[in-house]
Amino acid sequence: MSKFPFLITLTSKIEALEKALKEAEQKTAETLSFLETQRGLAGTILKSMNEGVLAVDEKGNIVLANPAIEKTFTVIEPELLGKTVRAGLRNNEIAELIEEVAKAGKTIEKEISIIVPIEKTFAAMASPLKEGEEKKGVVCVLHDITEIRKLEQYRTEFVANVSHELKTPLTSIRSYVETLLNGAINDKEHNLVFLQKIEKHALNLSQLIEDILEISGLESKAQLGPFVEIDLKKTIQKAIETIHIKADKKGIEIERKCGISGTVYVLGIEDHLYRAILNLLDNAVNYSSSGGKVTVSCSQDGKKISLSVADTGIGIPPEHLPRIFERFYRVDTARSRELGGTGLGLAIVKHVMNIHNGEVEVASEQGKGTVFTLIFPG
Amino acid sequence: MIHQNSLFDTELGELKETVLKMGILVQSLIQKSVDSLKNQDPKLAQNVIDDDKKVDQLELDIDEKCINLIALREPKATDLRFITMAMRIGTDLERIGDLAEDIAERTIELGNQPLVKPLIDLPKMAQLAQEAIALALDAFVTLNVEKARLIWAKEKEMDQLRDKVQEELEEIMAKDASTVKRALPLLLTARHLERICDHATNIAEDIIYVVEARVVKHQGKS
Repeated sequence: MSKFPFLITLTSKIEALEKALKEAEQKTAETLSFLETQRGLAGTILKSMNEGVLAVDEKGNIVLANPAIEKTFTVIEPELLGKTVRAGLRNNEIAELIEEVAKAGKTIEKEISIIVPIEKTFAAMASPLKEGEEKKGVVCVLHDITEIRKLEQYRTEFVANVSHELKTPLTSIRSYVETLLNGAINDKEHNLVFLQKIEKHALNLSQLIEDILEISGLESKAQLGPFVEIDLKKTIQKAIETIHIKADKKGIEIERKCGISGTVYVLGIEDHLYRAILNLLDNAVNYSSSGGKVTVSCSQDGKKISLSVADTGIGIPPEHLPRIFERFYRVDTARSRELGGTGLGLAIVKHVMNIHNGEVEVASEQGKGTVFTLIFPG
Repeated sequence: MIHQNSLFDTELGELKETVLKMGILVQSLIQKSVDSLKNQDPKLAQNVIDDDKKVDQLELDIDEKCINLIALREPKATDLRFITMAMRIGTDLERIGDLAEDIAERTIELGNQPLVKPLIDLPKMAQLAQEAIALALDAFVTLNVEKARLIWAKEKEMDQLRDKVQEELEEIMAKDASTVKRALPLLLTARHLERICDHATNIAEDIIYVVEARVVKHQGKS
């Protein structure tokens, strides 16, 4: 037996304590490392999210903003921290949504839009941050729905325009049919004229439907065929041959002037390119008066290949130039309809060039003529 | 701020938020009004005219808050200057809202008559006006006189653009008198936008007054 048994007991107690402390230290280290990993993970998730995440404390001051918020509002998180939403993001709608959620204590969803720095629409969802019953602030998630809303608006406008355009020839057809049925069918002097008018409007209608189908085909790119090498000179010749009869009837000369020797190839879809060139030629002939001239030329600048259709027609007033490629935009509605135009010709040209990664340019002088240029990237 | 009263602090914070709310609203009205003109969108123009009522209400809210603060808190020095500045900024922002409404009225006046020229400089002027207001709001939130001084450069740029637009439109009208009816609304819009920038300059002068206790109004810019 030891002389100092209490010392042995003390030593073993210290050892036990030391062991317990070491174990506690290890556990704390493990917990800290776990928390660090979790925090890192949460941070990574927030950073990688496409949705903007914004959190404010109970006083309404920003405590967190993820990179999606930074990108949308062109600010950095440190500049936002501690500021109110209005002071930091300069947006009333988000601020009001957060205030509403803080007051109501429940999740609220709302569509909000921002116009600064760029115009965007978001589906915003804000929820209260709570620890037990204690209110800790509000978290708001912003999901960008700009493209969806644009497409919806686009579709609505398109449907409205199409309905209007379809109704116009239909109304005429119905009135002539009604007049014929009401007795004009026996009026030998007029019945043929009425039937010719019905035929003309029916042709317009079917052309319009064809154009609408063409434009929707161009839009849903899935239906497009594969890109192949197209002999541009051949395609131009084909389009000229198609328009020749119409041009001859009006006494308009069509000249072909290509500044590139040999065969000119562009990558694309022949049917669509042919259609774009034909639309430009058709417009050039339609808007030139008898004795006028249409010149089709091509040139090369580095890899870029340009094709121009120039006419000596009436020209386009400058205020209309920015809008002529819009669907159903017409400089002179009555004249365009009279000439059988659907209002979609140039919109089709623009779409065709878009799918070919090219551009279409226009220059015009009233009374002198217009030049449309298709530019292929080469 | 020279006081030591947390409730007073909260009330001043609320006043600041209301001024910011009004500033953000008028910024969006400028953008929308010029967009409505550019896209000839009378619906959007009507939206601006309707929203100007909210701006008017906010001016009344600011006035009420300021008067209550002066009456109940008896503010001194910087606090007093801040409160009177907030009142004046409210008045300037309300005028800016009216000018945006005037632009929207020009859109309605034009209807769907084609524009005499593509709008390139007017949207640039609207952008400048918004930048000037954004700077004014930044300077107001942070009481930063350097930011306030940057507004004067915007004002100069704005005056140059206004002169350019005016010259172009005068030329168009001189060439063809039938364009006068369509050119005048654009000329007025340029004038409205330039006035908006002048109001942003007023705000800058107010901020300098709060921070430096120095009046720079009517004394040339320094």
